[in-house]
Amino acid sequence: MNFRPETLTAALVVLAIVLALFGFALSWRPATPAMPNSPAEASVASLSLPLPRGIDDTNIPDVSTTETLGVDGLSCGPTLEVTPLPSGLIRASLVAPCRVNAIARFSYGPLEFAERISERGGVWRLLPRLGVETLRVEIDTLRLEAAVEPGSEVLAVGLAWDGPVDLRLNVREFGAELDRSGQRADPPARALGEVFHYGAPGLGQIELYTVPADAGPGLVRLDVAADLGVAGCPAELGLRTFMAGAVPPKKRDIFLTLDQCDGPEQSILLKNLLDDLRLQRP
Amino acid sequence: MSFRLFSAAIALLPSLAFAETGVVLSGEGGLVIEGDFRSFDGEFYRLDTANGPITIAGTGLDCSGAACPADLRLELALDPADGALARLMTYLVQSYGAHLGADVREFHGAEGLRRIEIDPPEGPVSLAVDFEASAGAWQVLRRSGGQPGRDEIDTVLAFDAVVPAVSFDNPVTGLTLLAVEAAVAGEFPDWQGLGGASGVPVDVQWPEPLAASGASSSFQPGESAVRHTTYSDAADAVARNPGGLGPVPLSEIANAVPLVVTGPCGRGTLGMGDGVRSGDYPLSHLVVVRRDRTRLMPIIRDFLDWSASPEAWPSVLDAGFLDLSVSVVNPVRDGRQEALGADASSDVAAIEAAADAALDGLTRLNLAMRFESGTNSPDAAALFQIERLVTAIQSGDLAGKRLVFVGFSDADGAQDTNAELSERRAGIIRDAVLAELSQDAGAVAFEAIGLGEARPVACNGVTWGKGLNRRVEVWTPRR
Repeated sequence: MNFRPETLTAALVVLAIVLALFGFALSWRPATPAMPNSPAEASVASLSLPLPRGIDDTNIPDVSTTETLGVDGLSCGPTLEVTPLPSGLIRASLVAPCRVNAIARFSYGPLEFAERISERGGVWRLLPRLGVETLRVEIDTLRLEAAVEPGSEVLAVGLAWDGPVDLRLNVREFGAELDRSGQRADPPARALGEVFHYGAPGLGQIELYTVPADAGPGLVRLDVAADLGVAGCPAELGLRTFMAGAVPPKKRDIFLTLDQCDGPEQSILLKNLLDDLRLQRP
Repeated sequence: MSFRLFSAAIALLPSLAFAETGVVLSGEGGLVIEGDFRSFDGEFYRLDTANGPITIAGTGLDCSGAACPADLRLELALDPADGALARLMTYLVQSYGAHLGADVREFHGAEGLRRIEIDPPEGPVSLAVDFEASAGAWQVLRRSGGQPGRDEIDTVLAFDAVVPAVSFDNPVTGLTLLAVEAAVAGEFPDWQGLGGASGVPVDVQWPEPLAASGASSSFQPGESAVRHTTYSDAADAVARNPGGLGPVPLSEIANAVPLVVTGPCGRGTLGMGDGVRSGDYPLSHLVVVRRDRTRLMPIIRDFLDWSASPEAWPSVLDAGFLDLSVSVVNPVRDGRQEALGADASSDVAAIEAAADAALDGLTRLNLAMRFESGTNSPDAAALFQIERLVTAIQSGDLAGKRLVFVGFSDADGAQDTNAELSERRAGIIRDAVLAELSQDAGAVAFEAIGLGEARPVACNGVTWGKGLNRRVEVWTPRR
């Protein structure tokens, strides 16, 4: 085989180009906004980033909070956005890709709960619009705020607790009976409300029922089913019940002794814990 | 710690706080009293002084010394007759705590015990309210007629009524009281005989608490009635069942619908709103707290007074009851249903025309006073209605108004006699109000007229209808 120097030169040039392109590909990241510099900027972040979509949760590394980029190349942020939705709801989008597994403490009127930031680098929750102007989130010492624009409100009744007991709302709308799940009405002739759960065991939890303010007239009965689980029976629990939204806000702080368990499931139906919701004629 | 142990520990607090002696009480004007502390009941200090034992009201006094009471928790037990009344009292206690700016905590304990604690921001006295049927507990109940016993006293908190409730889908809007009683007793197989659809059975849903309450003894369930342990369960069963019928308190009606209760002539009133407040509805009730006549500690007395005051009315409405407010009745929504057939007699037409002329430009307040049968003595409910009107006048709500006390009679007897009788009764009520007001009448003018048997609210063909028609209403100029 005849060796020609120009052939070797051409091969080396091609190899160099390939290596250069490969190196660039390895080091490339999308352009991102700069991190806020001052504490004041950091406390009220206002960046607007698209939500991460189609991310494979299983292969995402736990990114250090000192880096400027997080999961999927997103800015560390964190950012907090509120998006208005129909039917008196809002969507809270917390994007914090550099704080995976950190605890985010949400505060929106009577809704105070904590969520662990997911492997996807954020927390996305639907919330009822309760006539409160600001949604706040704290992650360690960092504080974020997002304005909630006025709009149609719902009536919300809920209970908040912190303890190893699983509480669940039983909702009977407009005279209906419970179905087998115990959570919804049967028949759901005028089932208009929604039940939400926020928080996690050990972080504080909220069980919430919301219904449009103009759904009345009528009465929605609200009971609480308590599954004592690891707490065993008897158990003691501190909780707060509240009513918010398009009604004067109310709250009750209750210390509960759970000692009348009805069998091996150790569950109790608490009928006098929550006020029934009276809906007036719109 | 269990609820009972917790309560026991709390009960020990006062005695622990008072374990030592030696205090100085000081007040305005240089008042200084030194002595050995004996007790403090929330209102009075008892001391042993060099001049002997003394008892002195603690209002305005500062106590210094190791024995001064640091904490005194007074306990009050309430015994509501049913769930709705328990809800009312819970709301009132909670709202009273908020009114004081107090720290309010609620305990749900073993065996259904419930306690609400109110710790005011100032002063050593706090209040613990237990919901339990213990000896000495204040009863909370609906009262339809008679007065409490000699050693008891009632405080009125709200209005309520027993209403025949049906499903929203039931086309029937009113029944005679007799028909309701017969239907509840199981004498109607279906709704056709009651003006409703044929083939739809009358499914009586009977709340067991009604029999025990004495709130309406005229209802007796038939054998086929479905029995429920709570009013709310009965009301829900009625709401779910197109043929359902059940007598339940208005405060518990939830998703069911009340019927107008009429007499045989078709005249009657809906058991809601001002129809109940004025007592036009035949099954109206007062909601009262009944207690003995022992002296009350200041915070307990204050709680009771506040619960009967206008500040408590939002809580009363929240709990599903009717508040005690005095206001003008909207004639379009007064709940009154006229007789089915117009009475064409010229005598009646003349009486009504005279009434129309007398009441022209006036509008009715949502109260009425009625009389013991065959007498000119206001009945027990009327005494409260007078008190209610006096409170409204004293509050200034009716300042500058002219109040016209308008007497009405039943249709028994001659028209002239009835006119005189009704005017005399109007005068009796006016004078009773003036006597209560004493010097506080302010800028309110009073007048009394009688219109005889005009404007009946119920049928004169039945005894209870006559009783409702013998009344004094209070009217005032529209503007």
